[in-house]
Amino acid sequence: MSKVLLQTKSLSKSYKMGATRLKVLNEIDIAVKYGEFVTIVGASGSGKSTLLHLLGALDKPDSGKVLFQEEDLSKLSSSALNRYRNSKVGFVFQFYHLINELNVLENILMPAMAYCSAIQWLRVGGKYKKKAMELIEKLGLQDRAKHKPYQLSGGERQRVAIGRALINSPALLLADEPTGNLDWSRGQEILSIFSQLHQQGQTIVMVTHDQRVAQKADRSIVLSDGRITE
Amino acid sequence: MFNVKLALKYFLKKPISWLATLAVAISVFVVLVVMTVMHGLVVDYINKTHATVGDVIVYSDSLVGFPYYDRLLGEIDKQNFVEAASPVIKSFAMLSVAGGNRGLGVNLVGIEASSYNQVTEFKSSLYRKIDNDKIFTPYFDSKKSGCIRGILIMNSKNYQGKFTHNPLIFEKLILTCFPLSYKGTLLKAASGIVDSKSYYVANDSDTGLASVDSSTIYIPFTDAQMLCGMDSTIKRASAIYIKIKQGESLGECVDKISQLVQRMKEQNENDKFSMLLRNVRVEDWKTYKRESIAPMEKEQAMLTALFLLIALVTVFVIFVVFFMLVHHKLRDIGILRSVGISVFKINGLFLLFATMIAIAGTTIGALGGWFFLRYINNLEGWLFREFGWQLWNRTIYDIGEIPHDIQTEVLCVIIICSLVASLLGAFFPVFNVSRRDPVKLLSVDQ
Repeated sequence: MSKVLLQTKSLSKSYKMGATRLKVLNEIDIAVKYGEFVTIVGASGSGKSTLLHLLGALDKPDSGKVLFQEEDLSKLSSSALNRYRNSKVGFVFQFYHLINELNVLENILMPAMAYCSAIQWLRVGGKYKKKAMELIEKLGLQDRAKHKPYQLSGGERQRVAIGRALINSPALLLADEPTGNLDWSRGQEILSIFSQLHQQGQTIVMVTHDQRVAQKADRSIVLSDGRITE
Repeated sequence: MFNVKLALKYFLKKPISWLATLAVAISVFVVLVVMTVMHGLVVDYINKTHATVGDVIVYSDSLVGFPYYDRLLGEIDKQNFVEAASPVIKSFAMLSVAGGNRGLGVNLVGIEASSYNQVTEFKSSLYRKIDNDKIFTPYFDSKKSGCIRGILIMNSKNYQGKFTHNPLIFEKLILTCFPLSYKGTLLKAASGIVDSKSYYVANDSDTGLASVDSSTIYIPFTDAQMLCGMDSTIKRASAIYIKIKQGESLGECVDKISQLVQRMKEQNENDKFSMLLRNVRVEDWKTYKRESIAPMEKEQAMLTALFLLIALVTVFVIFVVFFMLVHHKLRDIGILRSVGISVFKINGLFLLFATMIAIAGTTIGALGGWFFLRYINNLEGWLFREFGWQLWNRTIYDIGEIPHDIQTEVLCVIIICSLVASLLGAFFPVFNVSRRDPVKLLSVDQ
C-alpha cells in the first residue's frame, strides 16, 4: 500500500458575503497517495477550486489542516510556504496565468530562476535551461520557445503553464480546470499530457466539472455544497 | 537575476512604463524650470540691487544733501574694514533731446567714476568697456561733456526683443535741474531758475534692473553737484556708498560707520549747516533698498510655499502613477506569489522597476529642463520677433533676461525628491498588495 502524500483534516473555509458568511468548504477530509491521479468534481460553486487553492497554499483555511508529507502547512513559516509553492507543488490554472513580458522559455524557467541569485544561476542555470528545453520539446512547443504568451493559442499557453509547473520537479501537480478554457480537441491534448505525466509517476490532483475528464483519473472526489458526497 | 530581467522587461516592453517615465520627466522638467526661473528672478534682483549701491550707505533723504561729506569720506577711507567709498549725488532732472520738445523726468546720479566703480559693479553694466577716466567721454568728440544713459531710456528693442546699445550714437541730451540752496530753497530766481547742461551720450548702462535702467542718467560728480546747487555755499553730497572688505561683518561695519557719522554730527552741532546732518543715516544695503527688496523677499517666501505645493503635487502625481502601475500588475504579483516568490523579492522587483522609471524620467526631465532653460531667452526672442509677444516685458518687470542658470543644489534636491517619490510611490502599493494571499491577487479581473 503506497504512502499518503497529501491529506486534509476537517478542512473548512468560508467567505464573507456582505453581512453573512458563506461556507464554501465544510469539514473536508481527503487523502492523496503518491503517484495517484485524483480529480475533484462538482458543480460550479461547490468549492472545488477553493479546496485546490488550500492544497496549494494559495489561500488559508478557517479551520482544519493540510498535511503534505505529514507536515502541517499551517505550521510553516512564510519562507517555507514559499518553498512549498515553488518546488513541492506545481500549479496549473484554468486561465494559464503566464507573464506576458516573458517568452515561453522564460515563463517555464521563472520558478527556478526566482530562487537563484545571479551567481547561483551561473552555476545551475544551464541545467535548468536544459530541463526547460526538454519540457518544451515534450510539450510540443519547440518552435514556440521564443514566443510571447499572446502569440500562442490557448492550448499552447496551457502547455507552457504545465511546463512551468513541472520545472522544479514537484511531488504534486495541482490543476484547476486546465481544459475549462479550451475546445474539446485542445482539451484532449492537455489531458493526454496529464495522463502521460501520471504514467511517469506524477501525483496529480485536478479540479474539473467535466465527468469525461474525471474518467481519466484513478479516482474522483465529488464535492457538493462544500461537502464530499462520494 | 530574475528581478533584474523582469524589471527590465516591464520597463522596456510596457507602454504604461513609458507613460510613467513621461510623467516623472514632465514633473522634473516643470519643477526645474519653474524653480530656476522664479528663484533666479528673486536672487538675480537682490544681487543686482546690491551691485548698484555697495555694502553700506551713508545718506541723507533730503534733496539738499549733506555737508562735510569729503571729510567723512576721508575718515571712512582710513578704516581698515573699508575696501572703497564713493560720494554720490542723487537728484531729479528733466531730460530732453536737442531740437526736440520732449521732456522726460529722470533720476540724476552724479558719480566719481574711479571710486564708484570700486564700490559698485557699475563698470560691468556698461556696453562700451573703457577706462575710468574716459568713462564720460563721448564717442565722437573727447572734448565734449558726456553722460551715461540707462539702456531703457529712449532706446528701442532689437529683433530679439532686447534693448540694445547703439555704438554709433550721436545724440545730444539736455539735462535741466532745479538747483537748491543748503536751506532747501530754489537757488536761483526769475528766468535763471534752472540749471541746464548739454551732454552727448557716451555709453549705455544695463544694470539688469528695469527701474534703474529706465530712469537713470549718470553724469560726473562735479557736474551733478553744480546742476543741483550742491556746490554752493558749502559742498554737499547725497550719499556715500561704501564697500567693505570680504569677511567683515556687515552689522559691525554699519555700527562703526554710524559712530563716525555720529562723531561728525557732534563735532559740527553748533555749525549753521548742522541741521543738514540731522537727516544723515547709515544703513546696510538691504535696509537701504528695503522698499524694493522686501516685496521680492516676501514674494520669494510665497514662491517657496508655492514650490512646496508644486513639489507636493508632483510627488502625489508620481505616487498615483506608481499606484496605478502596481495595480495594473496585480495579476503578475499573484502569479509570482503562486510560484513561491517571496514578498521581499516582489517588493525588490517593483522597486527596481520604479528605480528604472525614476532614473529614466528624472534624466529626461532634467536634460529637457536644461535644454529648455539654455534656450529660453532665444525662444522668448523668437516669440517677440515672429509674433511681437514678450513673456516678460523688460520695462515692466525688473529683469535683464530670463534667469536660466540651473543651481546645482536645486537640481540635486529635485533629483533626490523625484527618486524618493518614485520609490515611495511604488513601495507602498507593492508592500500593501504583495502580502495578500495569492488567490486574491489571481482572482483580480484585468
